[in-house]
Amino acid sequence: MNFRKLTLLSFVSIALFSCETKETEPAQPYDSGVFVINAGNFFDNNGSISLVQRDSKTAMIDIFQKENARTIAGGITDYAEVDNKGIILVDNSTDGQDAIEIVNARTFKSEATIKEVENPRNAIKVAANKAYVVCWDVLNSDYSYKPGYVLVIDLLTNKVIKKITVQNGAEGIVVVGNEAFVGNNPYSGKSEISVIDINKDEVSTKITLKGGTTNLIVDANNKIWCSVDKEFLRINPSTKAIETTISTEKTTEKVPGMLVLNANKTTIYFDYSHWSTGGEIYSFNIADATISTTTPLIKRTFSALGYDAKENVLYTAITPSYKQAGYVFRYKPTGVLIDSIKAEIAPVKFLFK
Amino acid sequence: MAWFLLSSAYVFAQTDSTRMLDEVSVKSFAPTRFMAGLKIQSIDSASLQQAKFQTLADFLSFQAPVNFRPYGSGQLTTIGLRGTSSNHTAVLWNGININSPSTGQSDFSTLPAAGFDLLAIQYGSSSCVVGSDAVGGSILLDSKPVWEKNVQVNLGQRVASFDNWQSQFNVRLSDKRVSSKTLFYKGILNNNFPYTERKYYPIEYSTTDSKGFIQDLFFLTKKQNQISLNIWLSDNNVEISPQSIHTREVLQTQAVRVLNTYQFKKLTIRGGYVQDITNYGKGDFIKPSRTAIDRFLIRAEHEWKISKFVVHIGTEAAHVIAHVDGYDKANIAENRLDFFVWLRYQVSSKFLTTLNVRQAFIKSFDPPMAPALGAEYQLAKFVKLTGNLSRSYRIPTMNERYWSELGDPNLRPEDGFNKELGINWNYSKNDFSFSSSLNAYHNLINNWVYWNPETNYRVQNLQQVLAKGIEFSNKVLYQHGQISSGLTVQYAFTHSSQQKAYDNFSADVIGKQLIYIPKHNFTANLFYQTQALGKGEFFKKHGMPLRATLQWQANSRRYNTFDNSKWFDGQQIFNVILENGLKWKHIDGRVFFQVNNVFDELYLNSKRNAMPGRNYAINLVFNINK
Repeated sequence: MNFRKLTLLSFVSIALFSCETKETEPAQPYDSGVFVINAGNFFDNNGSISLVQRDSKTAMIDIFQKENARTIAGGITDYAEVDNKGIILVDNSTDGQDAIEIVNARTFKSEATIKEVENPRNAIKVAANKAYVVCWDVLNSDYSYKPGYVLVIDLLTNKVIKKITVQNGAEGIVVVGNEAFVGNNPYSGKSEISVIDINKDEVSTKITLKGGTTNLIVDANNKIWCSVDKEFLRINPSTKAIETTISTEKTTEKVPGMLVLNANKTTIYFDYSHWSTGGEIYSFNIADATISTTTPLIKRTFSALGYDAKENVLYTAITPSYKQAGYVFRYKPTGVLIDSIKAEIAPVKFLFK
Repeated sequence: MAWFLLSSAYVFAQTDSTRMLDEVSVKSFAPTRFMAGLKIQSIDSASLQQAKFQTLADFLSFQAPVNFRPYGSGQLTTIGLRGTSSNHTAVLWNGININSPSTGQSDFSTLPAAGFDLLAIQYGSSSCVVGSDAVGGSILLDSKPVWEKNVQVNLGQRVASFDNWQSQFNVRLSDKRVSSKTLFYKGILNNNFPYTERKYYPIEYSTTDSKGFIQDLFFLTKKQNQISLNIWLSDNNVEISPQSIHTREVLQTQAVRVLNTYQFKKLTIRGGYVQDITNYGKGDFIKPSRTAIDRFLIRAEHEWKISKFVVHIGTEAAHVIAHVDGYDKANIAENRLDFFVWLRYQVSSKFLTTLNVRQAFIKSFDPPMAPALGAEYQLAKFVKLTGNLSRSYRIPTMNERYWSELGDPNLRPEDGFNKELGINWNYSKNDFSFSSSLNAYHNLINNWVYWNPETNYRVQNLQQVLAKGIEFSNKVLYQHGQISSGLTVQYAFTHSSQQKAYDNFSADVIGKQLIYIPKHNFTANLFYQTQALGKGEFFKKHGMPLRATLQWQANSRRYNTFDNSKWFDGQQIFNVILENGLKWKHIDGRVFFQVNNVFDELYLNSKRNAMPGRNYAINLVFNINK
């Protein structure tokens, strides 16, 4: 072992040692688990986030309240984490009272509140310490949508640094490489995906569809999947071309929603439902040429669907009414029920950590 | 005929928390005479005078264990009596139910305390007398004629925190044959709060612009028959988030209420017309959602007195026309017909019973026959026992029956059975008088209407609710010369819960306290009144009594989810009112200084926004009395 090798080794061991010191930093209460985003009842403004530990049969209720001695003042539409910061999107029933709450993602202690936001729908990390928040803006008096916008948030200063105007009813976002793809609510009359250049924070182009979509996901091959009415689309993010269109059956009024991917991102699970007849869960492989909705994986109406890649468990939620606590039902990927856990009002999304 | 009016006034004007049925009131025409065994709380005139500029919501929440559910300062406020929901309290204006037929409830933020001469809260079921909605109780608002030569002009102005203003102009003219009251009222609540949130809870910014006109006209014929006309017009405009046309929500409510009554000896005939218009919209408010309901009603009643019996029979026919944007049909008209027979039997000087029955008819479904049996027994000189058994009903609201897709025209009426017992104690010695009452009730309501989320919020007769509770009321009055003082304390324990399973998740709800109803509710009022402030000749001549009042309202936590998983914390609020004045012959001027929420308590409204903190008001009132 020559000297060079020895110094290299010592450098490596120092590096390893320093790595270890980082790992032995005290664990924080919210370092891992499944975060349940409870929308709350619209006019009760009682959204909350509960935490389900993977080995637990009970949920920790309203963790924001627990850590901050106050509750979220509104419903919650999304929760995302960006470099140890948590972004909670707050939708109050009164226009002018919406907010973005920024917390320490590990302790859930509040760090900042951003008030200049209207009807935030989704939050996502786009780069280091940089998040996008997709918003509808306030609705028009006839409940139609104004042009939406994407807020660019710098998480070092917790400030909005730019507002990018996008299409009406903007909702749903995924990031592939240096581009963000923003969909829109089908009821907004728009049928497009805005493509935003993350370096410039500007809309670079648009993809035109046959209807609005808010269900955007990115598969193992870095292709975007979404659903428009009864059709699943596969979009190539580089060419912006729609490569594949697969339709479900045409006899019922049910439409796909709540698209989620399994751990290796090759299977898509989705809810197939109609507001009056309820829904079921089905799945298909991204290589499949057809999608069958004859035999449901789970026959039940859910308000949320998620896939825990860590333990390969399907998370679903039930909202019995907006005036009582909902439940999380855990299933094996085969559709076999594992257990159920009481959450809070109207669970709509999950974040797995 | 004058005696019955005076005596009915007597029934109401009592300051006792429970009504005494004495010889005088027996002769009155007031329907409360047939409510033996029920608890009736009359609000005294001094309290009403102080509350001149308040809404019934703000005022009554400090007078009685009543649950009000405000949606914000100056915004929609509904009532809950005895563990029931907001459409289980009938609101009677001069005997007619003014609850909106579309929602089955009244907005107490639009009812001015100054509008009525007599105000009473009747607790417990009284459908047999009042009709639909009186499942938890009823609020009685009445106008009272004065049969003596008198001219009275009142001018009032209130200036309050947050740039809130109210004005009133009232003229009363009367002699032995004519009695008239004319009232104009207007309020502008700008609600310019100096803060946008309280302890992180947002304060919802809203403005309220309300105005109204009341005209009561009574005329006595030479033969002592009475003709009366009561008119009440009101217009209320609430804007939520008015700071920008993009964010604002606008709610306009307008009401026209006209009542014409003829009393010929023992026969009374009334004709009434009520119109309720509501416009709700957002932003530019170009195409608001509209509700317009017209009601025409005619009622005839006759009474006989046969030795110890009083027999009262009546019938009421109503025609309702609804134009509601949310209904499938542009126009829905329906006819309602009621028959009732009330019997009052004074068995002995100590023992009184009433037996009543009402049957209502509506096309396609008929509410259950509603009988009631009440009794009052003077056990000892100071102690009276009361009891009442009654069946009550609520006709489903028009929204519940006709709302597009979700409503069900075939809903059954809600059907309640109320049992109650009470004991009253009245005693006075020297300068003190005491009165206490203890009431217990058990009210089981079947076919409780529920917008069922399992069926995408279609309305169903799914639930069964049991409301039971105990109410304790205690009053002490002291009067010595020009000094008087009094303390009224009320406590209510209410347990109201869902009884029947109706879906897989209802197990989480059964037995749980109904939403917005606290288990424990307290109110207290303490006043002290003394002679004029100064001792000099000037004050002897011009001084008026100084009155200080402390009001307290407290309640335990109120749940806002059916499974009691979420709640509003308990709260307590103190108000202080100081009152003084000066007089010159027929003119007097009074000043009321009021501090609301003295300890700056944080409390939340139904939307979980913070209600205002400590705030102040000054009322100036000038009276000319000749």
